[in-house]
Amino acid sequence: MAKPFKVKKTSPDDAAEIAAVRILKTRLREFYSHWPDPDEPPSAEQLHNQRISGKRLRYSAETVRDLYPDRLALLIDLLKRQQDLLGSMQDIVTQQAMISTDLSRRRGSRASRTQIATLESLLSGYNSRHSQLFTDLVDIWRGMTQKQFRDLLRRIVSRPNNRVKRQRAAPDLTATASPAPSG
Amino acid sequence: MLTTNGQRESTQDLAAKVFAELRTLLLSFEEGALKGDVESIHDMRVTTRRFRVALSNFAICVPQETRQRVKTDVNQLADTLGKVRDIDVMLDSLTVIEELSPSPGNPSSRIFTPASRAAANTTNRAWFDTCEVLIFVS
Repeated sequence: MAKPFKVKKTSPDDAAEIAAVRILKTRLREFYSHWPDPDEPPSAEQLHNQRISGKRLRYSAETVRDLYPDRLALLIDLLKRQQDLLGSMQDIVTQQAMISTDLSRRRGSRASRTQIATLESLLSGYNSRHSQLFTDLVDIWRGMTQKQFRDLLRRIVSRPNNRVKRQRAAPDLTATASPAPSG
Repeated sequence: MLTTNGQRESTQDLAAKVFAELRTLLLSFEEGALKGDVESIHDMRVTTRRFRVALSNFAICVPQETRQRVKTDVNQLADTLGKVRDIDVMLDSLTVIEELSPSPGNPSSRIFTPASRAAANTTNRAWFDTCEVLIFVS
């Protein structure tokens, strides 16, 4: 599993907004680093690393979302969708491995043809499902790697809502009015 | 953002708030997880991941030695929760297989017995007695 990128140039005394910007920019850079070209089939390791980085990015966004009122919702939802797909794909891979092992054992022990056919059918079903999920994943990833989308994300994370209400000084009612000009 | 006393929120303030919330969340799943509830175990496991991400994001706010100790504890909890979770996932998968191809002598379903799940869960209980992370954010 790829280690998280270090969040640099922050200090405990900095305003929270500054840290939020640094954190999100770091996590975005990390997230996009694993599978840079959506037209190139990713390795299992690239997908795994992207899944982990996607979770880091989502958890980070959820942590600082109060500093970006309603502006991180799209990113968080997209990440959830992508991670659900990756999670389903990983579940299928795990179950395929288990079923393949069971199938080998049954073939070796001369199990009934019905049982073997059932397991083979199950494996075939999983393969189809995995292909479909991968197609959906690539669609989402193509969208997320578009330059316009990435630029938009950068703009959003760079501008947390850091408007601080400044209390206006109370008017000084004791000050004497300046004399009216003569003439 | 302002703190409750009207001061501008610092990175340290934000970090303290985040860790306090995560601690509360972790503890909220304790009872269910110790009873072996599947959802509580899963939710607690997710919270350990959030903890690790927070430790990485706010590393500047936590002394390295403390950070390392807390990280070790959180990793240990995640590992033991993971073992129970893996058994739960396997049990679900084996149920699917058995429903599709029932066999009286099927050894697969006997691999992950309630006893092995209970053994993994016992480790979770021991963790709560000595957890550094719960002390760290209090």
